[in-house]
Amino acid sequence: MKDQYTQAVLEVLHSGGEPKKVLQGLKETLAKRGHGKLEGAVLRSVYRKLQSQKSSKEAVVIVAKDEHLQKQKQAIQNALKSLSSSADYDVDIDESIIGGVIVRTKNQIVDASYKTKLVNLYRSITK
Amino acid sequence: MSTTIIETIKKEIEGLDVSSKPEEVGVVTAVGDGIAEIEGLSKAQMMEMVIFDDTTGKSLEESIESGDALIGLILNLEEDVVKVVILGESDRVTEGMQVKRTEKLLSIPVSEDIIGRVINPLGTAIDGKGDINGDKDMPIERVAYGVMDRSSVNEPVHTGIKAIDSMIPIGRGQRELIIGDRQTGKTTIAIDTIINQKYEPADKRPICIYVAVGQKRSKTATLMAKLEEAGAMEYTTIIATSASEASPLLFLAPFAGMAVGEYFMQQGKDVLVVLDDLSKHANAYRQMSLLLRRPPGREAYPGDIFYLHSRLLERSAKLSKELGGGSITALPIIETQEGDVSAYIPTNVISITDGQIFLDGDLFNKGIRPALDVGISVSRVGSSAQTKAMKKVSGKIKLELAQFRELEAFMQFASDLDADTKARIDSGQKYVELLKQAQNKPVPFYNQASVIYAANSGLFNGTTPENVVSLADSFLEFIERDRKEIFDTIETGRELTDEVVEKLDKAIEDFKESHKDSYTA
Repeated sequence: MKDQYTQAVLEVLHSGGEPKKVLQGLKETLAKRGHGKLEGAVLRSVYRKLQSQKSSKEAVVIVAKDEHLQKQKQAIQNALKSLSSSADYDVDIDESIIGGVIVRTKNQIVDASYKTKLVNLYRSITK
Repeated sequence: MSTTIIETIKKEIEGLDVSSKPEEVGVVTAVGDGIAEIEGLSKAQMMEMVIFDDTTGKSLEESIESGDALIGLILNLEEDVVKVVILGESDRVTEGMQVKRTEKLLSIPVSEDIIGRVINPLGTAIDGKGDINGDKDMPIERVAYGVMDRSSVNEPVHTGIKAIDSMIPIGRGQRELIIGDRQTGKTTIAIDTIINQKYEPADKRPICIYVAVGQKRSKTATLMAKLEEAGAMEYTTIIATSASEASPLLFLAPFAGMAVGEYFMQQGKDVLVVLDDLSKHANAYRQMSLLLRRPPGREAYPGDIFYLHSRLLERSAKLSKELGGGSITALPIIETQEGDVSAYIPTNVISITDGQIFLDGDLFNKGIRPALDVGISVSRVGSSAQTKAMKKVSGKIKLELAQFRELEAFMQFASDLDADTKARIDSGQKYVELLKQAQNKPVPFYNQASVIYAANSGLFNGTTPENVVSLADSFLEFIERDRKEIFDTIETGRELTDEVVEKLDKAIEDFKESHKDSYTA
C-alpha cells in the first residue's frame, strides 16, 4: 500500500497541490482508511522520491567550518569538475569531518575529508 | 615490537593518499535479517563489494570505535534498488546510511602464508596466529576454465583408504562426491585423504584446503588438532564458518575455498579441496535467497541451486601443460536423510560430480568401516589415473566382492551350500575384512598394492576371516622390516613389475612359513 500512497501524494504535489494541505489530507486519509501506521513510511518514501527527482548535477559541499570554504576553493572546483557538476552548490557545515571537504551530488561523492582519511588509516593499520 | 608498529604507521602515513576521486554512492532504504536494500547504485555490478559508511555525523573517536569497515555483497540487481547481504554486524546498518561502491568484485587475499592457517571466507585469520598478508586478490566467483585450457585426468590422488584407492580411484582434477547419512564417516574419509598426502613426495604433494560450512566450532577445532597431530597442517588450510554465523558467510565459504585453490593451481600445483558439506551450503543459500525475496522452488530452494553447485564444482580442473598443469581435486560432501539419495540436493550433486563414494549407515553399524557401499559407489574418471600397481591388483578384488554381494543373502543357509559357493563367500568375507580400516590411519599406496596382491595370491587361504586384519598387518610389518626394497620399488616405479611380483611371491611364501600357527583353520 505504501507505494500507492506515495504515488498518489507525488501526483497531487506535481499537479500543484499545496504541500501543507496535501500532507494534512494524507494524514486524514490514512486515518480514515485505518492505515495510520503507514504515515512515517509514506512520508519517508515521498521525501526520497523528491530528493531523487532533483537534478543529479546539483552539488552539496560539506566543510568543517565556514572559513575552510575559501581554503578549499581549488579542491572544490576540482571535485565539481570531476563530478561534471555546475559551479553552483549548497554549503553544509559539519564539524565532525575535522577538515578537508566533501562534495556530493545525487549519486556521487568526492570525499576528501580528514575524518575519512584518518578512519581509513586507522582501519588499515589495525586490520 | 613497538618499533615495528611505529615503522608500519610511518609507512602508512607517508603513503597516505590525500587525493580523492569520485565514488558512486547510494542510500540504504530498508534493512533487516542481514539484507539491505539500497537506492542510487545504478552502475553496481553483481557480486560487487560495497562499503557501508557508518561514520557520517559521528565524531572521529566514535567512528574509530565503531569497528572495521562494514562490507556488503550485491546479490540482487533490481529496477530501482540493489539488494545487498551484509557481511558482518548487520545491526550497524541503519536506514538512510550512505553506501559506497568499491568497483571490486568480492575477492579473497591469498599468499603462500595461508598454508597452515585457519581463515574465514573473507581471508581473515581466525586462529589467533596473526594477520596473513595476501599477495594476490583472488575473485570468489569466476568462470571456470574452458575445454581447451584443460587436460585429461591422469594422476591419482591417493586417499590412503584401501577400498577407495583400489576400487573407486580418484584422479587429480576430479570431483568425487562423498555422500551418506550423518555419522557414517564422511568427514573421516576426507580427513584421512588429507593426512595421507604426507606420504606423497613433497614436490608432488597436493595443497589441501578443508572448507567447513556451518560446522560446529568444536568439530573444526578437533579436526585441526587431528591434522596438526598427524603433521598435515603443514600443507593444509582450513576455511571455517560455524553454524552460528550469518548465511552469506556460509554461502561464500566453498567459493573462497575454490578461489584459494585456484591461486595454487595457477602456479602449477595440485590442490585438494574438501567441501564439508554442500547440504548445509544449500540450506544457507536457501535462507539467503528467501530473505532476498527470490522465488522459492522445489523444497523451497531457489531455482538456481543446481547452477550454484555446478559453477562451484566446475572450477575443479586439471589444467593443460601450457597453463602449468596444476589441478584442483574437489571432494564435496553431502549428508543424506535416512539414506535417501534421491532427494533434491543429493541428486543434483551426484549428477554434477564425476562419481560418488556412498557410505551406508547399516554397514557402519555392522562394524564395516569405512562403511563404503561398493555397489553404488563409482568413480567415472579415476581409473585412468590409477597407478599401474593398483590397477593390476584391483581387478580381482572388484570381481570377488561383486560375486560375494550376490551370494551374501545365502550365507544363512551355509550348511546347504555347495563347496564352490562356500569358497566364494569365504573369500568375499576375507576381502571385506581386508578393506576394513581404522580412522586416521591411512595406508600408503605401495602398502595397499602389496597386501591386496598378497590377498589375491592366497595369503589368507587356510585362515578365518577374523584373522585377516591381524595377518595383513603382520605381513606389512614383515615386508617393512625384512623386504623394504619391495615397498621402495613400488613407490618409485608405481607398478608391479615381474621382479617385484617375484619378490612378493617369495615374501608371501616366507611369511606363511613363519606364521604357520595362524593357518590352522
